[in-house]
Amino acid sequence: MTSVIRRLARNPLFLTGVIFLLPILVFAVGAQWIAPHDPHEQVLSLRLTPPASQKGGNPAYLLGTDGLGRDLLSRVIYGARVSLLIGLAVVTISGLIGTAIGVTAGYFGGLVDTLIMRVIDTFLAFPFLLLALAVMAVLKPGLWNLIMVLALTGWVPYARVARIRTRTLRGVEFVEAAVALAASSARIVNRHVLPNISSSLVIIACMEVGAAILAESTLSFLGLGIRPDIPTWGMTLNEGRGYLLFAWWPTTIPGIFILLTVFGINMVGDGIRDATDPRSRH
Amino acid sequence: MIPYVARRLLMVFPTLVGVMLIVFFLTFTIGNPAVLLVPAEAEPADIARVEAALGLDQPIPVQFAKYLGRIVRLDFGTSFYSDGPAMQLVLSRLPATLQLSLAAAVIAVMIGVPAGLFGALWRGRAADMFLSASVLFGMSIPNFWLGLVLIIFFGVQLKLLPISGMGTIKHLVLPSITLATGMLASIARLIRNDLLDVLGADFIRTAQAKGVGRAAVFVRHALKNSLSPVITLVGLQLGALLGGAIVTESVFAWPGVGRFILQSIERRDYPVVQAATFVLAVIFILTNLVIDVICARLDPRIVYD
Repeated sequence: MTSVIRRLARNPLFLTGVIFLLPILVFAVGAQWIAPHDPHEQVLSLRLTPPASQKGGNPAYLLGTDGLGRDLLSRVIYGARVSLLIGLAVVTISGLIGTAIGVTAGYFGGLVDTLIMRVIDTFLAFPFLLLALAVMAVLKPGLWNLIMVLALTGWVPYARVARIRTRTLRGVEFVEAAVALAASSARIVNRHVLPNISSSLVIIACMEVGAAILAESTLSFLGLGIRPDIPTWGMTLNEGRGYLLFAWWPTTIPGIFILLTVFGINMVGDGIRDATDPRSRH
Repeated sequence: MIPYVARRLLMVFPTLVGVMLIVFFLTFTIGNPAVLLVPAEAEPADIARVEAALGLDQPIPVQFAKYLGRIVRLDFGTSFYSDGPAMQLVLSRLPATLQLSLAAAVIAVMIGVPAGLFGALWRGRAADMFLSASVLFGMSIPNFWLGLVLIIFFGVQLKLLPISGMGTIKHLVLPSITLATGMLASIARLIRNDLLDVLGADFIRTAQAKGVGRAAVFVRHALKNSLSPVITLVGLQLGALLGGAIVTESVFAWPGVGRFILQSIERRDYPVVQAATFVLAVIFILTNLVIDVICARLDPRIVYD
């Protein structure tokens, strides 16, 4: 474990990712102290003020204002909170569901495995966005509904990896020995299978945080996200779409934050993979 | 070979039935289309009459049985909005989606494959670091945002390219680039990592020991072996591409199936949502079937059992 941490501390990808993510984390935790304005406050006389660095900018509104005169920087700072919360919640729920399904299929094999594989094939054949769109169109928009929809469509990668890794482990001597010692299935899974597959699952989870944030912003962009009174990056961006032809900042700026956050998460994920994967130690 | 294909074809059916079950369930949860079809001041009796006309007043199991009976004949009913059969409306928009997806897939393969190749060749050097970082960056770009930024830059500021609609090859440029990025990054990443795995294998060392040149080892031994995972990935990415088409098409007002699905979900037009989902799922499943067969031909290690 300490050697993993030492390798992480020397991994440029991991470190760059952390540098990207730190400000976002600070935004999310301290939004109410950091944001210069109330993210809902509308100053109609200052509608579509460009960022302060541009001609006509106002130093009180560093990143400019949106079409209703709300401070973009403050909206983006509050948006970090929603995005990170959704990313982490979705990954936790879908990771638990996917791991349980995958380990069950891989451990028991036979008919159970065949059935689960059919279900996985069905989910893979279905554009996930379509599923999420249709469900969100029905459910009342809301934070937990969105998290559940994304978790319901996001468990497949964990299930596939957990299944294959469990199947391989099933034939390994120490698992056979545990079976021969009449250990119960629950004990074998808890003591021998899960600890051995957890690192692969953690790496998937890192990647999926980014995917969940992208999915949330896509749904918010299409107008099917969470309630309109919570400023999210996707929604702020969508609201700026109407001014696309003469004001670039309301659409461009929230997107940059989505991009940098997901990029940071992906770098951290890759860094962890490099540091834990024995094949990449040269 | 033929028994293998037959077996794989048989396995397609449970997947298709699963997809149709999900679609049926979904369209029932979307909400009551009758309410949306009548004017706001309509009496409950009017709504009931519309429901009866659409067959929405019957018990759900009866509706499901009728639905399955119709699907077998590929009949998805009439669109609630325009008068045509839902399937025909979807099929008429399919060429636009296929054109866009195909253009995106070509861009992704043409740039993704060489990028992955050079990453593996130059492993650990600055160029590889740069390529890997670009790939990770590409995977992190929100599709819809990239589309909007391209519109702002090439359409609004430079006035170089049209920003919406379909027609000339110029119309295809921005949407296909938007749709291609994610797939491009995934392909480049897979090729690089797969080639690095293969290059560490024993048979490569054997070839090197026999005195085979560096280029020949790379092309004849390594590249040949990482071909089938790449083809498989392209097939699986097609699902993401068809899903991404929903967003890309609505950003660029591209008249394809993706944009049509989004509109139909908003209008609660069940027959169209069902038909379109069915068509997309069939395309995805059949492409992956063909790809599995190609891989089985290419790679003698895959057993047709």
